[in-house]
Amino acid sequence: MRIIMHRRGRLAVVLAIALALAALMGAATVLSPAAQSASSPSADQPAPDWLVSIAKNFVAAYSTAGTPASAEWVLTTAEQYKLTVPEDGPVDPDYANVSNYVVVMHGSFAMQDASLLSSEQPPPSGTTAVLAMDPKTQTVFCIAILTTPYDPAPMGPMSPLAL
Amino acid sequence: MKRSIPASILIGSILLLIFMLASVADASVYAGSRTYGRGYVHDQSTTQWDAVHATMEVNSGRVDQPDLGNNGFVGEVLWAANQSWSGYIECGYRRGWNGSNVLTAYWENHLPNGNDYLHRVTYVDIAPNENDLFEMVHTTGTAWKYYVKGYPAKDVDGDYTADTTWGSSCQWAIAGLEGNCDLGALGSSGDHIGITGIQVSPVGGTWMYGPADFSHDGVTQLPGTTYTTHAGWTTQGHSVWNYRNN
Repeated sequence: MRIIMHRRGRLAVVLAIALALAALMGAATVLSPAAQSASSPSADQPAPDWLVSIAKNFVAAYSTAGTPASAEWVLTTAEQYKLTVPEDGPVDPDYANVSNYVVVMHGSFAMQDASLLSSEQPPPSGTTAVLAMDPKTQTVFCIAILTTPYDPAPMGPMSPLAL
Repeated sequence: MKRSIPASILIGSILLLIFMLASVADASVYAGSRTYGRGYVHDQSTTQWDAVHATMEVNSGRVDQPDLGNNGFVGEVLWAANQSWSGYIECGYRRGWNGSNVLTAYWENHLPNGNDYLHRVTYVDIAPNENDLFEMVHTTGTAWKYYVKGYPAKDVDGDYTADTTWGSSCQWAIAGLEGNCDLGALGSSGDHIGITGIQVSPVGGTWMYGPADFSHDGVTQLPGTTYTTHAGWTTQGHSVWNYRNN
């Protein structure tokens, strides 16, 4: 069977296909990990309530000297975050642009979650705590307690966090 | 006059009822739960490894407040270290993560410089009653990768690599139950039990199982324990079944 189309009809079909393709590409872009990229908050933007709550709970459980001397936060990408902790392994390129919230605290901390071989063995401790959080689930996915100097510069300017 | 119930209210009521029933069912799971771990280490060597593997039976576990709020946990761990224990890597599963009552897989990277990184595995789901394979495999240089159920143990940054600094082999391997919470039968709140199960001592050592064999395990020193260990799953003595009834 021959399908006969007028010029206007063909144009409509082409336009419809183009729109459908654009919609598919848009959906794929939105759904891809890379699309979950960080957007820079303005300097005066407050930290999300859930992030503050997590940080406070962390201090209550992990700090061995009360309120930390300092606390800051930033919305960054997995790639930028991993640049600050290269010894913990490289970022997966597929997830490099995924958004991460990161909180950095200076004080005295003990890794209460660490696995130990006996009740006599003290948990790992350090003077810097770094919490990496997932904005999507609003949960912590990595807790780092460090003894060595930590440089947050690759993540850009950080904002003070009141605890 | 007879009036019919609007469909939206009817559907809403049904959904509410389903939610309530699900909540009750969920609570009943915890009420009857036990805390135990059962694992099997596949590796036969008694010297050193460039990969360690363990199959562990996942239990729902139970951690109550206030321990949960204090980041208490109970779970099962595959642990490997350099000879001095200054650096170690581990992976496993646990009930309790950062104060949340969740059952999750995790991995940890502890470096000889004292820095410690604890990751929740967010890209692989685990569930009670599964027998799950946990692996840590040397890749190149000083890098080790983690796998859960055969999948990369990724978290939100997509990474599942540890840079151990000790290179291509480890000289300790241990697997078994670990808890940092009120373990009830042990008699006091906030008990911590070290990794109990199977272990091999440094280069040239022999495989052992059970807390009574472990010089670094405090469990048998605590009074009133009903904590017990059973060998099983194997004819080679490389497995253990630890449990405690709540």
